Amino acid sequence: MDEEDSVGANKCPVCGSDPRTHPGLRFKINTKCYHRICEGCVDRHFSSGKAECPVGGCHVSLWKREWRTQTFEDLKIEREVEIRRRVTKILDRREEEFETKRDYDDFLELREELVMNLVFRTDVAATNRKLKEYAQANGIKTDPTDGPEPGAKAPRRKDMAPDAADQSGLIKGLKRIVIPEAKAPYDPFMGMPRTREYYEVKESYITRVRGKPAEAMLAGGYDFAQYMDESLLRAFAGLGVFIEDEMSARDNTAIPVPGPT
Amino acid sequence: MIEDDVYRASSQYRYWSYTKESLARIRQNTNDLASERVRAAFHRAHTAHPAHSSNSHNAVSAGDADADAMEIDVDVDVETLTVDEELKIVEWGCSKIMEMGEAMNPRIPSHIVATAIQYLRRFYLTNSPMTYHPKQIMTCALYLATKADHFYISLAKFVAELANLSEDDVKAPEFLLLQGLRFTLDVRHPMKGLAGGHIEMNVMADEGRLGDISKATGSAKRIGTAADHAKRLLATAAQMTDAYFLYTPSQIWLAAMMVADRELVQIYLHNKLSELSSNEATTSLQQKLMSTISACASLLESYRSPKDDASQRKEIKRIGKKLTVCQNPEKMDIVAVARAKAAEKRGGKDSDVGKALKKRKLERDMMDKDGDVFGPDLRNVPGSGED
Repeated sequence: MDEEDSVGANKCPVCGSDPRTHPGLRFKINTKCYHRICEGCVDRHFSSGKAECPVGGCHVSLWKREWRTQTFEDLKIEREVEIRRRVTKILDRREEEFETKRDYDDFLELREELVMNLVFRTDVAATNRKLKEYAQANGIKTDPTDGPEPGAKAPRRKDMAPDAADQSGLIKGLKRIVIPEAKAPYDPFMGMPRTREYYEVKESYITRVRGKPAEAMLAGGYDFAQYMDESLLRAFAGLGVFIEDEMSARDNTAIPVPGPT
Repeated sequence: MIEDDVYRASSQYRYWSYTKESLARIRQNTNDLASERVRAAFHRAHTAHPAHSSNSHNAVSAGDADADAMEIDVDVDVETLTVDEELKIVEWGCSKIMEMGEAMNPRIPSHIVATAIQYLRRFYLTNSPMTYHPKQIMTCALYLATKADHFYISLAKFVAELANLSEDDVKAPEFLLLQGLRFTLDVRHPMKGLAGGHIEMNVMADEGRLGDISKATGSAKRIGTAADHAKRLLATAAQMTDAYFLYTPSQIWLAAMMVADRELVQIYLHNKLSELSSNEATTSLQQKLMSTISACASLLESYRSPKDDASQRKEIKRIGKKLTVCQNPEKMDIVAVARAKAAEKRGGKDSDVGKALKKRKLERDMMDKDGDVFGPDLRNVPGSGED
């Protein structure tokens, strides 16, 4: 590769600007057709919205935001990295999620195969379909610019078990999803009911207490209803507890004797 | 019933409720153990100091070996208190607590005095008066009750109200007492229940739900007198008997009401329970409840205050004398006992002073070995250029 060729390859294919004549010229690429044009051309063609790629013979329609600066010098590598990034974002599984090491290895192979299919453009449509199905089944958004599709519900395949981790059936050997048991809301009374059976604090009781309050009850914030409730609870708590019967059932004499040592 | 489960959750039910038989068994057991220990203690005291007799009732003047040997035999036969005598002594302690509560300024409310009394009674289930005399424990029980039941008096003030008492005397047995109480300070009293029941009876009478007893027949006065009588009973008879161990507070206050006015309680309970639900379970519950409450009522009625009974006073005096003889000599000084216990807990057999001395010695040894922590004196350093 001589000097002339590399410089010629460095020209903008649209306006023909050359970095030698235009110092500070910057190029941009897109990840759909991987054509490389200068920043000025991007501004000119795409400032009014979606447009076709200006390179001759290319009819890919693009937005301005899809043009970005190149990371790698070799566009092939740029493309492969881009594909890898997209595929790994969709097929994102860790080793712990698989039943066995073998399953994980199979998964890695599958991913590599899909990547290479896309890189070498073999079976592109089938590969893309697989990825899309998988993404939909697992609720992964492929394009961050796309909003959630209206009514988009992960399609359920009839032959898949409902607790299978991958509903699309692309990845095999994943562990089953175990839905954790829902915890009951915390009950500070530990299941003890808060109703009363022996009594009910009626308004007539409260007015009676209010009639002749003790000194302490005159303090601000004193709750007569609460006082009545407490008194009645004390009056009836244990009314039906017959210690003679209940204690002979459980031997209460076996108490630790803390006597003098 | 839900309320019953509330009571079943209390420590009073879980730890301090007994049948008559188990109560007697525990007391007998405590008495046996304590008697054994008292004998062992006397024996030890005697073998440690053969020259002077710690047992004064057995007058031995000479210190010769034969007499000693004989005395040991006698000592082992120290006459210890019986269970009934112990109980009498504890009751004497309870009445003293009551007197203390009344003598205090400000006067200690009766429910706090009652708590203190229950502490004392619970303590003497597993401890014998022969080991710790009630007069050592009772002040502490009262002071602990004021703390536990939100009637805090500062210790200095508490001590100032009582004659011949130092702060240490009150403080020393505190942990011992707590241990004897198994660290359960909650006492469920029937007094508050009586207040609630009084109001409910009044309301039921006003609404004509108590049969013959209604507003027209002077229900308020009748219920009021009964409640007053019951309140007095709860403050005295319920405290001086085993009612708290044998019955639940709600049964106790109903029993106290029953002593005051039997018919009233019968009508009240009948109407109350039939209002709740009228099936066979309720009728059987009612019968059982009536018999239980009657039993409790007769227990409360059977109590006679020693104040109006000269023979009881005499009996107490006799037991008191007997107790001075068979008191465990090793536990006489409660302050020293408590201090020894605390020291033991802190560091094995070493006392604090011994430990501190040991530590200082160790430090000195280290100093001798290593020299100063900042190194040797400067003039010893060669070539420091001082000359």
